[in-house]
Amino acid sequence: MIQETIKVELPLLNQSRILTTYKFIGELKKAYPTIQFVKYIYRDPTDGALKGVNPPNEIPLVENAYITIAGTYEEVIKFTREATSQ
Amino acid sequence: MKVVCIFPITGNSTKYPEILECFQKIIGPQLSILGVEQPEIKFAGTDYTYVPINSFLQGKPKGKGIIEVLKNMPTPPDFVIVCDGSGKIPFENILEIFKVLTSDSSVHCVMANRVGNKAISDFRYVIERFEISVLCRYFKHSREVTDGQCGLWGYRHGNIQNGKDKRIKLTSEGYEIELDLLSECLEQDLAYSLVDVTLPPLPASTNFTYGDNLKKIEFFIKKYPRLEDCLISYADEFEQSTIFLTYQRQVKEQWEQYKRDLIMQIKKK
Repeated sequence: MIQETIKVELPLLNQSRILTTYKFIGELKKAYPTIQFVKYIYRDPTDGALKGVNPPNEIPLVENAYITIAGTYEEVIKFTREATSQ
Repeated sequence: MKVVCIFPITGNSTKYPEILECFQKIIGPQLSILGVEQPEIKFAGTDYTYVPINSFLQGKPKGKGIIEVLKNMPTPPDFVIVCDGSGKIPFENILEIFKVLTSDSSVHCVMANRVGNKAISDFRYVIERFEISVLCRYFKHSREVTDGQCGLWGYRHGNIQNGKDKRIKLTSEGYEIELDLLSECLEQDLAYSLVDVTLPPLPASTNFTYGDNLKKIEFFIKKYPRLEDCLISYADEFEQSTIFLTYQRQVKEQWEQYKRDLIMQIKKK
């Protein structure tokens, strides 16, 4: 059976549980190994500029950033619950 | 076939998984049958970030968020579908929009037509009808457009086949984005379709303000400068329409204020 997949771009809301649990993209990739982290748009705390990247592990997780993920519905919904819950 | 579904939504954290669950159970399997591989979902809130512009993070209006979502897509989609993320419009209606959009290659745009409850005040409803009548009158469009301002709509993205430079190009930054879509269709004589949707009986509640009514008209005067000369005569004509006469008693004072403000707005230019 083919697993149906979906691609979702969503914000890391203020006080998201993701932000309090993980500090860097690399930690998220470890916690959700089957999810593909496609893109991350964030304001870099070091220079204040908006940046969009295919995220390497050392990129910091910041609030109001937008992250694009791809995976099966179950995985993406699980991630979304955590990203949008407080 | 690449499809992107954009949900304008700010905060309201319960809606994100709710929308995705609706995709998992209802929308996704149907889209898959219809030939869509890996639908893409994007949530465009007021904090939506568009990389190449160093704009403020906060307070982005609806239209701007949607347009920047599209700019942030490296591979342009074939179809764009937008549905307000508030949940007032049942999300599964996205399927109906998509089905009509793909059923006939001559149809370039599909908009929801609210049947019964419009989820707005009587005054706003009258103004909506007026705004649509203005566009129809301006472009000499004889077909009755029964809606066109519901927060559920879709269109074919990119150049239109055999259409000689024709394409739907949205430029509105605010709540007038739906009217912007309709005006693109009327101006370029592109085929559009309306799909009936029934909204649940919720009380009318919105972030839309009185000033947003005027911003909508302001946008169209900028887009079509000649509209300025005929706007008041269109308003006079609209006062003879069945819709206006039906609601005249309920909205009389508000309408008169609105008309005065329109005249002021035109005089200021």
